[in-house]
Amino acid sequence: MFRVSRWTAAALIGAWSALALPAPQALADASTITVIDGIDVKDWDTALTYGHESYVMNNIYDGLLRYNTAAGKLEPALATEWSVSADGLKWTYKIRQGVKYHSGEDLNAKAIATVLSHYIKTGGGAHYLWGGATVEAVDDWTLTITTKEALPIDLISSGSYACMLTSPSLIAKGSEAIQKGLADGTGPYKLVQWVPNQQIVLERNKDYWGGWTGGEADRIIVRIVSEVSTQLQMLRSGEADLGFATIPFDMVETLKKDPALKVAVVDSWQYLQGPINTKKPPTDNLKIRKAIQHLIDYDTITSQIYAGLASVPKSGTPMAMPGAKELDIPRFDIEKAKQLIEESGVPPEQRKITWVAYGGVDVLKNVALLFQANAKKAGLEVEIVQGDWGVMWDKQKKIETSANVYPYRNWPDYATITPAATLKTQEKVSFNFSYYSDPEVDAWIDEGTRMEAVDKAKSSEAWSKAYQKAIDDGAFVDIADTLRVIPHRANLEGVTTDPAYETVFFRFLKKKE
Amino acid sequence: MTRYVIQRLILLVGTLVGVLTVTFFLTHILPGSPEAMIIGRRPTEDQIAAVRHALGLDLPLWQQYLRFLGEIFQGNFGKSFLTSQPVLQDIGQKLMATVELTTLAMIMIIVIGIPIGVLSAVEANKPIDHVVRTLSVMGVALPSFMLGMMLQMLFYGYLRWLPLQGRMTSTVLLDHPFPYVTGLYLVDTLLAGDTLAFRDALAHIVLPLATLTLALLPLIARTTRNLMVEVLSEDFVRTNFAYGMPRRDIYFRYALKATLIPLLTVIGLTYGYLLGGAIVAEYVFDWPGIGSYVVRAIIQSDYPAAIGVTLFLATAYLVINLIVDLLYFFVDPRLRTS
Repeated sequence: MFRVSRWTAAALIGAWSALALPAPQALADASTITVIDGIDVKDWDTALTYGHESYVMNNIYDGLLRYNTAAGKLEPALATEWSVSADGLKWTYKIRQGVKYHSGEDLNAKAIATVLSHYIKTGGGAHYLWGGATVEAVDDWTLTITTKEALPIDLISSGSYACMLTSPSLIAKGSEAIQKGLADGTGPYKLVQWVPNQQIVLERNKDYWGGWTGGEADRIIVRIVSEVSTQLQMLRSGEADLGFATIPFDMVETLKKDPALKVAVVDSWQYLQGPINTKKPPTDNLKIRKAIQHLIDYDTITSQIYAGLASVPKSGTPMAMPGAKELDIPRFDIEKAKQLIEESGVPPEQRKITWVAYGGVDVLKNVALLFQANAKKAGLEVEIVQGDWGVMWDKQKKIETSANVYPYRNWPDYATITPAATLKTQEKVSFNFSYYSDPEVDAWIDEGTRMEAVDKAKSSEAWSKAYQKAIDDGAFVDIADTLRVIPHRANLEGVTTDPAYETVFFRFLKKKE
Repeated sequence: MTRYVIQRLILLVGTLVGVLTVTFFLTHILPGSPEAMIIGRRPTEDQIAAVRHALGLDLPLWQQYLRFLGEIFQGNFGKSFLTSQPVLQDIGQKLMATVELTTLAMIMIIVIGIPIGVLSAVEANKPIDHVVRTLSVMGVALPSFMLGMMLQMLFYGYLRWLPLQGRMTSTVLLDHPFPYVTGLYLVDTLLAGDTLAFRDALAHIVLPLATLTLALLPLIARTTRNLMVEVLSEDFVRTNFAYGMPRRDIYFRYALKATLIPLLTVIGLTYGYLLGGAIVAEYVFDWPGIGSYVVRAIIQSDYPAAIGVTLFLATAYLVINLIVDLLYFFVDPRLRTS
């Protein structure tokens, strides 16, 4: 009935010839490293950058200082020396000489003053941390930063978000133009291409002031791949060298068995904190709050839910953070919790709390379910409330719609353990999700903040007291201190991360043939 | 006919204003905190207040609505909270990726699906028909994400014939720059005369195209079959056979023509659906199209993006339907004379 005409045959042959397609993406050579991540850069404008894109930006831009977590101290970056006045209000930086921006422009104190002043004036991203400081160039290589109150400018100027130093000429182009994909830093890699939602290409800055040892990648390609299973397939096939996105914890063991891959497990300053609402019944009752603290099964959470990729909290913040001190943390004890609930005076029909598990994050849901099961044994009913982070955050900021327990992933903007955002009395709640207010704790927090500029040991002492008092008052419970997992090809060496910077430093990566 | 077109266009504008209104109030009444998305990580109350003021979110809802309509009529859809880029620019970039994929899929569906439907109708209740119908049911029943992943595993994981994801290989995209003329990579690379880039773009589109085609082909094939079965029992078909006309002419020139009006409707609706409904294929293959953009916008309360894409998709759907309705006039001479 149907005859294949000559035209049809020709078309079919033509189509087949066209489909003599190139092989799947050719494996990159040693001078190119392909990194995969699920989220594209949102803000190229460093005055606004305050999100996930820091993993790219921290390879393009440098700050004045760097925080070396292994050594537990600050190190020079674009500034070679720094000092602070006795009152902690005036900071002086000596600027590194002979550094050029990727555009060829010279770096000097005047350029930095222009850029930092712009950041502070616009107040976007994490630049509120500068507290309206005044930045001045004393001469070509000396910079002063003056603040109205004592601030840890040394730490802030080493932060991942607050001090990405771009060039004055880029700023002059305006935010609108920069957001279309412009970058001009002094870092080890420079931006050469951005195809939105597809890829970012960085090229080695041969004149990098930090120097090169040889064998580093000339080109870094960041592919945006949203699906985790696709990311893993690309890693396994060798099409990608390193995966930056979060992979499910239960996949880690499987990945470790693949001889072509390695899984780097590194320290992190991220932790799962669980503020307990002190104003909302029944958690306005101290004994109920204390009972909740005893119902956290740390061992199961860290070993099972996090598959060993988290540690049991010992302080108010991860112990990996500078200044963190071991504190007296209530331990898992269902019987004790049961007793506290009985003693609370809360009638049995009112022993019901809400627990937030936002964003469809599996770990948060599993923690909530485990807590729900344990609480049931102690006579406390738990309703798990789920929703997008933005929605849940908005609700938690209003007492009438807030939940009793609001576990969320927390981390600092720079190397600090300050509890100012989470435990200090707030008229309008932003991150004090426990609605906690205690004059003594407020005083310690203020003391720690004052001292952070001039005496970090005293500062952490004051803050540790604040944390301990808040724990004793049942204002929060730290649930897990998490680690970071970075899968990569076995032939990739130098996978170096730093919990202070949510990134992998591309300049240390070397691919062996 | 001109009057009919004008009436339809007025109706189209009214529908779009309705869509805009509903989308605006839905996105603004639902709880959420877009400020966090715009500012990032940990906004201060001052930053939140500044952003809310800049976006007019501190105004009463009705004032926000009027302001919003004013902006839309000036062609300003605002900036996406998620990408920080103007929404129209985002849509423009992602639209062409979707158009390239869905248009090719639609062509494949028509070119393959209609002959299969005709064959099935001609061979009604015979083995070929049974095979086609069984495969159609299987095709409809198999979720497209599953189909996509199976194709990935086979052609990338096992055979290593085709790329896994994206629109183009990273190095080709970087080392073979081609002018962005239409936004359709296959066309732009051809215009640039870059055969390597063209072949690379072609290789990348094969799997998502196959997924979309296989997912929607059964619909067209089955619709064609059912319509054809009906038409083949008509008197004029029997007369054609009696006159000894060639079978191929009877099936494709006369019988198939009689099914075109309902078939065009289905094709039009399918294409409209594809423009917004290629979400799964786009997600699985990281195809940077409008589907994945709208999903993220809705989930993460990116109002400007969600409203912009909704308006665009509604317009596309209505325009496609209008075109289909106008095509009726060309297909059926009776409509032109009435």
